Amino acid sequence: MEIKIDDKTYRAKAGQTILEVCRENKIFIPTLCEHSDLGLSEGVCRMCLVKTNKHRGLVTSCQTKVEAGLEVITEDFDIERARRYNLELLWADHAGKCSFCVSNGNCELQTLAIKLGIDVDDFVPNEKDFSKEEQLKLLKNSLKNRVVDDKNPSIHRDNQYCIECRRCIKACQLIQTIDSYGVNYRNIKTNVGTPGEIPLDCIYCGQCVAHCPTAAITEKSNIKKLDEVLLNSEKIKIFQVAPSVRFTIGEAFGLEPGTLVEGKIITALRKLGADLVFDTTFAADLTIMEEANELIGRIKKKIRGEEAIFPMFTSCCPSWVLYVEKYYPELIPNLSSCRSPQAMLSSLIKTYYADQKNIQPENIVNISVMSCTAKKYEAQRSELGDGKNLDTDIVITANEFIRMVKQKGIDFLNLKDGKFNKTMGVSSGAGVIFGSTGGVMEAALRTAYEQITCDELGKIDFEEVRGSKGIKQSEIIIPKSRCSVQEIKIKVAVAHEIRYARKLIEDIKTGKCEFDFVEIMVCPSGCLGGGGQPTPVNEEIRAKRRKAIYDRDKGLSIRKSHENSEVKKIYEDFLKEPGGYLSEKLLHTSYVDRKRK
Amino acid sequence: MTIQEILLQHEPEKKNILPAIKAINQNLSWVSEEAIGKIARYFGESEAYIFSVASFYDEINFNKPALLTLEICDGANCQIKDSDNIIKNVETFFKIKVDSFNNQFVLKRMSCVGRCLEGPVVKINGTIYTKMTTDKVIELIQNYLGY
Amino acid sequence: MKILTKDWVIGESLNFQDYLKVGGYKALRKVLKKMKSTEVVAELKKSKLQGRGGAGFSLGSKWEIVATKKCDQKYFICNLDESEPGNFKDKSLGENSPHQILEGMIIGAYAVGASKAFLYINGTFAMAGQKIEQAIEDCYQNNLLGKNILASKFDLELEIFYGAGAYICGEESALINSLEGKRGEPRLKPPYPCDSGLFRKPTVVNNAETLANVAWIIENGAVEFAKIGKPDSPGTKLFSVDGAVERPGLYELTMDNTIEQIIRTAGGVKEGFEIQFIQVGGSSGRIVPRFLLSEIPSYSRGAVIPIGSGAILAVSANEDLKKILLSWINFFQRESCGKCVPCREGTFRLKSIIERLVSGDFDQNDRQDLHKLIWTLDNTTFCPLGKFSVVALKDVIRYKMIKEF
Repeated sequence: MEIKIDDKTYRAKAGQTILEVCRENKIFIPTLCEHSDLGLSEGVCRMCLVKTNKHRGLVTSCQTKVEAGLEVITEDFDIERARRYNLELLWADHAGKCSFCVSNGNCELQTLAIKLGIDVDDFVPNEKDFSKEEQLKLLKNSLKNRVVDDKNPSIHRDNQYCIECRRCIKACQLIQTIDSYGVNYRNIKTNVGTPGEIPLDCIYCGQCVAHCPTAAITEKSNIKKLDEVLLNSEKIKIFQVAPSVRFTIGEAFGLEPGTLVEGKIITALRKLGADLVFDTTFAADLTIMEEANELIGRIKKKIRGEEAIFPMFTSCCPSWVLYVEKYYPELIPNLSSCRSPQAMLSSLIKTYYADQKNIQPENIVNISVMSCTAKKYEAQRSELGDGKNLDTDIVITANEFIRMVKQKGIDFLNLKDGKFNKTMGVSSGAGVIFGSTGGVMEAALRTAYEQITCDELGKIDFEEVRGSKGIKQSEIIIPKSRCSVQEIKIKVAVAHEIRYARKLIEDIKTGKCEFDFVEIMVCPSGCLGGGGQPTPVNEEIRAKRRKAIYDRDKGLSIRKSHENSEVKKIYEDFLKEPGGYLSEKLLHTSYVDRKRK
Repeated sequence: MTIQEILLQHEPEKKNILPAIKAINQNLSWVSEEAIGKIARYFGESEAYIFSVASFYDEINFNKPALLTLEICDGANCQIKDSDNIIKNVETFFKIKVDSFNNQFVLKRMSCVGRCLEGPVVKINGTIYTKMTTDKVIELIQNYLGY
Repeated sequence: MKILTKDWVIGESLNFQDYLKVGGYKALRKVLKKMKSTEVVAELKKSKLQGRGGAGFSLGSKWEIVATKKCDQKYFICNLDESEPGNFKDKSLGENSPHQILEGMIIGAYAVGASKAFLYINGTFAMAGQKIEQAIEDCYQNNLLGKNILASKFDLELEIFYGAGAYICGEESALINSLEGKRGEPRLKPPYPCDSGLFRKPTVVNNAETLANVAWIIENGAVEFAKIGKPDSPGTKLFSVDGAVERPGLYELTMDNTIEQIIRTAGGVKEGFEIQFIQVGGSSGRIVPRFLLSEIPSYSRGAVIPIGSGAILAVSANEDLKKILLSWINFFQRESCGKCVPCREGTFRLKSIIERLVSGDFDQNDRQDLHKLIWTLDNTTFCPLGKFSVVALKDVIRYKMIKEF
């Protein structure tokens, strides 16, 4: 159908909202509570109000659907007033707080306030009144309970910055079906948070962080801790960089989503004070070696008629591991015993590398730059250490890295490209695709196929497990070969977001479907959509990030984990073989039943 | 009665969520964290959802009940019968502020309950008292608190 | 002329037997034995009976929309949440003559094809609730509720539902959300409850007083009803009269009375007092200055004073208007559901400003903010509560009743 917006005609499809049509045609309408990831908007912020010929007064463009003959006005005196006054009402609680706020410069409320020219702290009593004790109660914060939750290692909440947009509630409810948050109380005391203000106790995926427009929900910051370490000349600071962040960090500096800024990240880290910069992607290849070996072990047992537990689930996503421990502890035996790439690398640094270079492991500080908030939780798991010290000392998210770079005034865009340190800095395309949903699966299949058949893979790309669909399934047929006397069929599934993972698990449990190997990532589209990645984020941005990751894989000459020269070296020199004694000790782990009784 | 016994008096249907919350609040004088958990499990909803619903309504109390909860109507009809002064006088006399909390005495403002003709109206521990004056209210409070 | 209170006995409640004695449930019998549901709808539409919760929407039109829908389940809801300050008409109905309401509900449910009905009552109305529960029990015992009512093959289950303290639940979509076990936040309209209401099914929500008129209309006919009151605002109305009058109380009068006449019925202005203004409809009601006392409050489209819920508050010249203004604003601030920014934040900021007015600290900035807030609450809120919160304030400004403004 055709509709008119500001006197121009545009095409629109039935079922679209006015906002969607405006966005498609680059017509600006401010929003705060609406988000394309989160289903139907509730229309609470009143920023997107417009006028139409079919409605009386102002209506929300995020909720009003188009119809034939609709005429919309998006700019006039009333609409301007509506936006301005409502923004002033929201700004009344935030004025003056920007300079010490972690989201300064990266806040949707601030951006909108700047755009609309809100520069007054209206609705708050003038300074002269502050001397009166009575007037202080007029500040909303003193009426509303200030809730600060910093009781978990991953996510920090401070409701003084909350604008009650309800996005976090929907993110947790819709994407992860965990429902940690609700909107509580009424009138000015309305508070978006946990029931009874109990500390957050979830799977720390950080999707609430990713969807919060202000600093109400952020990652737990380790910047202070890192700053102290960087000043300590006695410690050897070893950084590792996650596969996906090198495709997203550029967004904070104005680059297109998916732009590869690996080299600049490395140089920036060295400028910040890194002694060594390794690549977590290297460890991703290691993970594949161990995990493919584990999978093949289970398959061989099945063939021999011995007892083997299927399906095997990947275990590199710490949020997913926590989900199994808390909600499906009976599936713990199904989890791969492999540590995540971060954990594997940190462990090897403090043993293999420390040994090689004659360094005391206590003098090493392992710092990882990750896409995710749950990695902060993972780093402090007691299994991932030597009993006295933890393997990974500090985890910072991509966002924290960006903040540090900006704080120190590093001219990121003009940095020369640096290189990883060689020992644990070489990676294959299979490692790179870990950043996307389906990547771990594909990487494992590339290696498993060749290891079973001793033949070369014809087609390297397993397109069936790529893409943003919630659940993807496939059957991989591994033909008879000189190393494998019979044909082996591997049934695989890939799911991302708990809402889909859950469905898959239930179907598996009820016997509706059967799989040998399942990859689960908790964040939308995998790590590239993680809770620590730059915001804003939406499906369009994630699609660009995804494409960049697979393009990079395609452009590399080494695309299989077992062909990584440094990986081969570390097995030759140290680990001996996947699943061997040292591997078990340093690269595998165990899990804990954490179900609430 | 126990929380479970109260819940079992209601079929686990959506229309019984608010009645069940009210019943627990009425019976036990407050809704505890434990109660929220039990209600959530009984109705198949998350705890965050049940707390979100329960905390919307004025009646529901989430703190162990104070010895005395005094609510004074501040609607226009009671206001012109001087209810505002009763609030101020109680605050002064007992050195307590509206909406501040101690486990002895909680003072709140209340919305109209339709007994305007017998105003000013107050509610003490859920019981409605009408045709109140400052003196009468202070006497009632002193009786409740035992001095 | 009395329709609603004609059989009331002061200080007593009409129980089931009493109600039957004065002709109760004759209308229901007539409907179930002699009338098709379409005829019932037509009759109520012809009567032009308007919603007495405040909105004044045609009851017959609401019933018609739902009646013509083909759906496996429809609901009928009576709104007795009455929380507007200064109103006690529905509470009185519930206490004095609960069966009047029930009869209206049963006839209504039959007319629209609903098999399940709810009576949503303010949680603090303990006595009215008790009387209604007894009345419901009596109906079930006497084949007036349940299966095959009066052998007509019409089934109806009717339940009482107690609110838990939230004025906004008097708004029909918020009421429905509350019934569904949710926060009592209003819903986006459209769709309206007639199309998508309780559990997304077609639902009628009518005020208790409106429903109490239904039986009389069925028995005496729509034409007779339309003769009473005004042509575009027929029937009688329960007025909750309070303030500086000799005999504050509940009065039933025809819809063609002026405010002066209503005051006179309540004994006139109290001896020794002078009227500052009258407020009609509760805290969200219009202000009537002395020179407009000859207006007729009604549901007519062009009424100078819309009657709303019919509460009449006579405010004497002794009263400090600023304090009363604060009382109104306090109420709406407390009752805001907190969903949308303008109402949640705006009513709070408005309250601060009026508090400064009362304490004498009102300044230029406050005046500026005041007008901004009034516009914002009047035009940008999610639901009409924003508009309600500034109705009286706007009149105070319009009639220049506070010089600081």
